[in-house]
Amino acid sequence: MTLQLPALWGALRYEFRMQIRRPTVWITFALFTLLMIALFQHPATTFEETYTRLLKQESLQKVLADWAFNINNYLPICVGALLAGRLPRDRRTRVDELFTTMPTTRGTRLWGKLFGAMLATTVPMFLIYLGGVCFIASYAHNLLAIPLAFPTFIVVALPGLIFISAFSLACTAFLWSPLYQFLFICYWYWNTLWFHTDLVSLSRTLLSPIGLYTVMGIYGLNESSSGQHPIHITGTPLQAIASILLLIATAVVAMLALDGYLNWRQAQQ
Amino acid sequence: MQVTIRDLTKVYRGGVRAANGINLTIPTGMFGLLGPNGAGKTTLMRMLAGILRPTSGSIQVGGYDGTTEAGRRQIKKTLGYLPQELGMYPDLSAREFLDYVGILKGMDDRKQRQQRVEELLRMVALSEVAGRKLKTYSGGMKRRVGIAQALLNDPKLLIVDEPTAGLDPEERIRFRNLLSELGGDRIVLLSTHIVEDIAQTCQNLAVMKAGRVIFQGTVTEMLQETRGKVWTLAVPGGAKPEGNFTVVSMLNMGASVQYRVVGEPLPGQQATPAEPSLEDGYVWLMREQGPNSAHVLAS
Amino acid sequence: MPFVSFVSLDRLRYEVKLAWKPLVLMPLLLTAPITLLVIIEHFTRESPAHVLLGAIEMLLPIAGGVLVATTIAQDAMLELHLSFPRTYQRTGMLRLLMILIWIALLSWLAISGDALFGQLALPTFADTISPIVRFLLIQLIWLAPLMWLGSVGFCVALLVKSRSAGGALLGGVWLLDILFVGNIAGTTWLRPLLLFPTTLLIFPANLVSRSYFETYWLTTRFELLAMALVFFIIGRLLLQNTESLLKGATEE
Repeated sequence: MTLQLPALWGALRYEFRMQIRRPTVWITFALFTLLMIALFQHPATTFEETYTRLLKQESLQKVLADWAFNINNYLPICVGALLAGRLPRDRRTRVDELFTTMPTTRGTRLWGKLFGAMLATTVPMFLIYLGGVCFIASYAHNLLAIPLAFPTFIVVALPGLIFISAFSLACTAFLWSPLYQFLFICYWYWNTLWFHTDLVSLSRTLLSPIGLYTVMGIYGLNESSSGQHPIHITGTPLQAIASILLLIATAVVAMLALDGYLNWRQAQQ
Repeated sequence: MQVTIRDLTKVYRGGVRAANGINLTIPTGMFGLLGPNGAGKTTLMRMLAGILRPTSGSIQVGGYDGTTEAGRRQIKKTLGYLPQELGMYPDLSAREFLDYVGILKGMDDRKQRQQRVEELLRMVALSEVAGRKLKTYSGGMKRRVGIAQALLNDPKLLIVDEPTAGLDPEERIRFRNLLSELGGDRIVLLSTHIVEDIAQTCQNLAVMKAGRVIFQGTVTEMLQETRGKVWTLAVPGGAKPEGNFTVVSMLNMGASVQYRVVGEPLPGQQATPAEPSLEDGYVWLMREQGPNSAHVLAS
Repeated sequence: MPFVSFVSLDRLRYEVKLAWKPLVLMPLLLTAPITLLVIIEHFTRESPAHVLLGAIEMLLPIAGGVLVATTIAQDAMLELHLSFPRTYQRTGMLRLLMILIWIALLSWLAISGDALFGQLALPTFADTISPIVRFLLIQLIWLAPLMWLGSVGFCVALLVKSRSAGGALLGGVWLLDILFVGNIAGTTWLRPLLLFPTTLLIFPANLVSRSYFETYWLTTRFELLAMALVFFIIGRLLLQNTESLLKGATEE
């Protein structure tokens, strides 16, 4: 897979614009947010109650990491499911045929598609996260929360998002996309059960897309700071870095496999 | 049967006026609908086919009122429609697809329906491959399946939207001849922006632009409108001629270039009047109406 | 138009031919994670009955919802179909019914098997009610979430006009409903959204009191069915808007 940087940038911008202009992306996240707001109305677990309590116990950085972790528990289900339609769309509209005639390699286009579509779908998720950060900043009377929020999101959420986005593109090359969506929903539910220590779960391994090892190893989130669900495992900074690298490496492997598979399929035609 | 359209307007959500007070009378036989992309042809056809509801105005197909639900239901029973982008179920064979469409068209008698399907498969020369899945068909074969489905219920009104787009010359000729045969005892409304298709098949035509009908009449009338506006100019050295005209074609003759233009050449230019073709007529109409103008020349 | 001619056997044969792959594949693929979970639960000494109940109450209905959203959102020959005397609206409703009936059949078979092998615990007071009412109550375990997710999938598909967005929304609602079950049960106005109380709140059911059962289970089942009815009506109205349907064909 050879990459051509100007073409990669072009593909990335094209995919980003296509995805961010889709009203359905915004509607999906808006409805999801409304539902989350409704669910946070329970007196014991309102957003305000949870985070003012946490701010009394923990540093601002830890509280932001907890919020990013929380967001990363729920919203990637929308990101993964929304990205599942991107590759089949190219086939349906036959733009893949058109792109194949261009000098740009397929690999470059695929990476452009991955980053462009993923970043566009992440924008609403990031805005929801930023909304929560603004509330946390006001509870903490500390504007430092805003600049701190950016690297926290990148470190906690982004590796997992790259991981699931790569699989959402790769799997729909050979799976019917609604079927993939259904399997992805089941997988993500399994991920969110990370606190069930008696259940085998990928999310309690270094391959955790919800960022469990990252929040423990880098931000020091532990049992006392994790609110409802006590974390029965510990993470070191080294494990956190390993987890991030492993997620990205797995995404790279998935993308290479996708490129190989599409090349093989083209050769069969 | 006759189709009568009066003051037909369609405004989409967001304020786009795709049809703007259309008046049209379509008699039995082949009828061509010409116009550039975005002129409102597809919207007009969709309203005629009962797919879209008009914002205002009236559609009368035979004795049925196309602006009421009951009328649209009746029109659909006598209608054959071939849309511009014909979606099909790729895993069905042509025979199964036609049978399924027959059911949706209300042909409940299985034996009669299957007979009709076989008859049409023969007519469009697909009997040999009728058992193959549609996803294995070429563009031309799919178009033929499309026309076969439109004819299943022996329609009195046949609407075909850009039927020859993307077909090779042989397929296009075959398709045009088929449509001409069908136009004997029913209305065949052929929408296209390929002037040649209309020239070869239709006596009556209408030209649309910016949601309005800017011309309705016979091919002869349209040619008459254009007479005296088509010229040939031989320009030595290949320099581009200047004047208030549109270049329709240019032919490189070696020492000079011969231009065919529609409009008014400058007095000094050695212009020879030429016999207008339908394409020249179309170009003249488009020129006369300006980029967005919708003045009605004739109706 | 008589209903009999609208669903002739020939018509049904084609509808099944067009949809059989996803209809069969989705439930089939479901069995893999369920079997895996049952094995895991067995080794962790948890109850496999709990997993099976979860599959019937939680997984089959979401499979139904995703199938409905996918089927209704797009159709390859939509424009052509809209020009036929047999309306696309009826075809849409027929396909919706087909999916719901198929998932209902699978759910009924699964819950009957569950009950037959003594894996389905019922509240102790259920012994005093008639067998017919008991049978109907058992069916509410899967019927209420299936109808709710099916009807929401129906509406969402027609509103957002996108397969991927429909799946994303349904998946999101499903996940939040599971993860926030405590919040939903504890907030009176949110309680009608309790989709899966049999698995998440009242398992094993033989230990719950009558009032708890009625508040968190019985009432919410009927509330879900009532909401589903409203969503079906809204969906039916949305299906009438051909302009919007045609626009949706290019939305994805």
